[in-house]
Amino acid sequence: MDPTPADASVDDHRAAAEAFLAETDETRPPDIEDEDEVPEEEDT
Amino acid sequence: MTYRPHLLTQLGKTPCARRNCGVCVAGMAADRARKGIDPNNKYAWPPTAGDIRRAISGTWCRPTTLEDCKRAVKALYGVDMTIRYNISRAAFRSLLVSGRGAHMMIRYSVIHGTKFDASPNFYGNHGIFVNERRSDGFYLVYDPLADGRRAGIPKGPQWWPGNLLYAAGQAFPGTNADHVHASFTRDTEP
Repeated sequence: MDPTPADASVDDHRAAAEAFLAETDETRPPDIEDEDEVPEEEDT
Repeated sequence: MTYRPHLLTQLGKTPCARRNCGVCVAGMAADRARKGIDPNNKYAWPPTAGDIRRAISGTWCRPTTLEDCKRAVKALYGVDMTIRYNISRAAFRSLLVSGRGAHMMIRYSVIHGTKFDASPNFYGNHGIFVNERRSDGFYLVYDPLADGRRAGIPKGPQWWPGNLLYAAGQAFPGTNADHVHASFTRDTEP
């Protein structure tokens, strides 16, 4: 996907976003980790 | 103005609280996707962590994935999320500017030392909800840990600089340089 200039219009961004979604899929890479547990606080 | 969901915070007395970042973010994403409109079914509205956790893993407090959250919000609220891995900054920006919210994966250690740090002893993998991007490049971030529980802990949604958001996203293990992993709501804006 070509970079969309920061000052592009919302319509330009929408077109870029839709093109990106159309060109890609939801395949999960094998090395992705899950979210972690937050440790006990710090009750100080 | 972009619809802003209710903040769901994860810490407290609810079961699985310390593993509920993704669960809470999923709830905020569902709220955003529906623009606050109650689906009027048997589940509470706005979404609760309890309902979403039960849908994902019952009483088992296991870590969650973007796929878990996607399945849960579809089943509970009829919301369709779109997952993408290794998204460039430009694509992420376009998806946000054009009207989508994002469940984004970050590495929390990157947030330490900033005013946005809501858990100074947490270094791990975390989920946040990114609701919108401002024209100056800041993003409105809903961190489920930002509950203001004591002095120095931020409370409520915060505007994070884009560089911090992307740095935290690309630090998530298994992410390509200058890319992030996220799951997006539908485009809710005109």
